[in-house]
Amino acid sequence: MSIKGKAYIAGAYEHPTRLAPDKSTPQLHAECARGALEDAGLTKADIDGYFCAGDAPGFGPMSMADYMGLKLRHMDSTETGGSSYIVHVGHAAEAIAAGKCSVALITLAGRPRSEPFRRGGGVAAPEADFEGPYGGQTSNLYGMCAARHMHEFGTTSEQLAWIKVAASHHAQYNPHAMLRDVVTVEDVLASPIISTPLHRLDCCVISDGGGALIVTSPEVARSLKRPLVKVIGAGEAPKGPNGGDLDLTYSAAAWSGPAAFAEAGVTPGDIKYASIYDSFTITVLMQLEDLGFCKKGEGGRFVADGNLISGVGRLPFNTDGGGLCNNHPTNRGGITKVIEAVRQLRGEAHPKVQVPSCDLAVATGIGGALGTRHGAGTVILERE
Amino acid sequence: MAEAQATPAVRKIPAPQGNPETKPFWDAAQAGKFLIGRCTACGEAHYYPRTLCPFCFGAAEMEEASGDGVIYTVSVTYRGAPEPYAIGYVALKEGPRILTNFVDCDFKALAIGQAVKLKWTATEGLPVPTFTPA
Repeated sequence: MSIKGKAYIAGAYEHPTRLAPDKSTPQLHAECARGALEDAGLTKADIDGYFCAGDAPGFGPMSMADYMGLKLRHMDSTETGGSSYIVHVGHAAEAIAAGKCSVALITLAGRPRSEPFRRGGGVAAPEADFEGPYGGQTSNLYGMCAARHMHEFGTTSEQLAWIKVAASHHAQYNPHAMLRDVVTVEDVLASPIISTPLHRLDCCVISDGGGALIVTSPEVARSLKRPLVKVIGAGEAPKGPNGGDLDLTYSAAAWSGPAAFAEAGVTPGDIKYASIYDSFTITVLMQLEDLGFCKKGEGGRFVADGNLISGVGRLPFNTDGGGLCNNHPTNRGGITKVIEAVRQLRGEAHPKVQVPSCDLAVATGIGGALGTRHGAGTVILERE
Repeated sequence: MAEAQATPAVRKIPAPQGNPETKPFWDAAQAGKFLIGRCTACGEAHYYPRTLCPFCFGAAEMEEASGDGVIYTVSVTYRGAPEPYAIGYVALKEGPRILTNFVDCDFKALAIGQAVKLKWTATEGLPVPTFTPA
């Protein structure tokens, strides 16, 4: 069984806040849910499926369904970090195709700028004693991958910087973006080193905020007044150090990407717009290679010279400014990747960055740590 | 509030807690011996050590490793910690690539492919395996 054509993204909403000291995190989830419902033209009573991940406060879908007053017949709390919400689109399509629900809500929200991060309790991870002592933090767990990529393929900091430059060209048109100034390769290289070889401007922003999606059955989608954005392929995979049989030059997107393209029956060459999770510049470069937009090792040359800038290059990416410039709510960027892909396919992106005749898009993400264990999710979306 | 706490002068390395499965590893560590896992069925070495092989699910045992290897990758972190530190993977002579810190060295001189050797680093509890240039 395939999910191709079995579900549509009928509603998408990105919370405009980037700093929310006076709201609660459950409140942000609910505001995002309401925004996505209004966008779709549906009401809360229509929702019969709910998808959330580790950012959802309390006891996963039980706490949030009760808080928002949802009557559900399907729920899913698959957790792959920031890529969870891309994975959820695929899972929602599966559930809808199987008749388990017809209107699925996906939410993400959080306030990392406004409230301290609390780690969950429970049983320690099996790797905790063997990795925890070494001070792995997001920047160096991605920096290690960039260092190895440079060593094996000759990738340069200048090439990585082009990814940030492209994102900044798009962010200048987004009034909600945290960073709206256009930057140059020289600006990126002149910013302080956070963890070698990554500079501050190789890293995404930290923002409060959130987003939500409504995924529906074809019947519900066709009853609404919104452009039809069809889910035609989805893939997901985890990857870890694998008992020491480790290769940091590729990500789990090397599995999730081809699976999604195969299900959709399209190739990277067909894609008009790409939302590529940009926790760091290296994350984008790695996924472009792993999805097959270029050969492994050639990502540096692919991203250089503005090739990711809408209206300039071959592959417009993250036209909202992405995590690098726009937002990265609760340190998880997956849902904003789907939201901007939906805007592009509807023709509702900013006119300065809208891709002409955009009828096929990919949204892909990596959550967790690229240098240790992470989960990838990829969805292919088509304008009907 | 975290902001109210004094910033420590050095990065504190959290002490491993151990569990029944990994107790032999940490017992050996306290005696200065560095163990890796090896499968009795497929013969492959692995790390961190498990009782069931992560490759074939055969019964695995722990054996002492040489402590020699080369740097597979390294990142020197300058922000988000009280002092710079070097994290990376070492490709052990026995095969597995393992996450670690590089200690007692000039971080700027660390390079992929460089030979390194095991050096235990003390914590407030059990010692942890780290590496230094050979």
